[in-house]
Amino acid sequence: MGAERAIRRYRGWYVRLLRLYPRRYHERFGDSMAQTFTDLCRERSDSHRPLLAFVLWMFAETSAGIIKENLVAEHPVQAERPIGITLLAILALIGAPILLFAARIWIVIEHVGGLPLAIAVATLLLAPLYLVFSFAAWTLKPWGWALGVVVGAGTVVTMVLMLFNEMTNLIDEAPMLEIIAGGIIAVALVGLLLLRKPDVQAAFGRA
Amino acid sequence: MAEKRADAPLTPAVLHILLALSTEERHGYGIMKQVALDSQGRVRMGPGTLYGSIGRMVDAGLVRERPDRVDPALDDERRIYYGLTDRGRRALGAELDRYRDVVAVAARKRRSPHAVTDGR
Repeated sequence: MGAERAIRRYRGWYVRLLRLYPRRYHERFGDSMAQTFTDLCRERSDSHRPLLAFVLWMFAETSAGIIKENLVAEHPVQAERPIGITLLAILALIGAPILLFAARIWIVIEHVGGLPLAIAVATLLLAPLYLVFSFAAWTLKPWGWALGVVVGAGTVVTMVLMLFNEMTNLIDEAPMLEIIAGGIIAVALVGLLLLRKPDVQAAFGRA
Repeated sequence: MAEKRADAPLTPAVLHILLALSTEERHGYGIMKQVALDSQGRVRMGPGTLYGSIGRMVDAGLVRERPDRVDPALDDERRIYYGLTDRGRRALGAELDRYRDVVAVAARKRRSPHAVTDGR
């Protein structure tokens, strides 16, 4: 009885996750996928094997499918790319800078409090939002890959500046964080504005 | 989606799904169970991979959706079944022919899969 309740709860979460698929795909397969998910959970539960790890695996596997189908919805060629490679590329793109920011903010939290801490937390919140934005632009716009390159270069430059400051203590901790966050966002915005121009898009070969 | 030739090489997931459907129409969970059985548990396919592949196979004309119905062995929920099309059968046949050719070449070279992995 307890297992059945857990399965119903997991199914509710899974149904919410399925809404992230492109609308057409969700309408076509959403119900069948939820049904299959329940069948697999019941099979697992009936054979007295651990359910939670299996559910987590299915959530991860379906999340990779969601990313892939969203990419395919815009760029059909992506359908040929193995799902693992797509997932790895996305994790590398989003994960590495977030880890760097998180490590940096951890250092700040260890040493300071009050306003600088609030700024650090705000930066931590802004960084993923910004990265998600740039990733969305990279994947969903035909010229988005060029924006990704611009933003990536901006990130690298600001990270180098940050490390340089770490060694020299040229600027205080909190303002440095603001400069980093502001600098990357500025680079992204300038890149976005530039890439709106048709001649710049043509220069990247994807007008 | 670009139209592919029926005898174009298949991905492992598509091959296993076609094999699972080669004997009878099945719903998603039924396909998963059959794939696990056919591969002796070596191929593990989640709903994301399964339905992504099915969607592309339907679009490519390899598989078609059948009217939904109840599976008496499971519960009273109606399920969408999938079946092979003629094009799907041809694609499966062409892929199996390719595998047979590869095995024949290996046999001519007097190499079994074990000999290859053992480095003999």
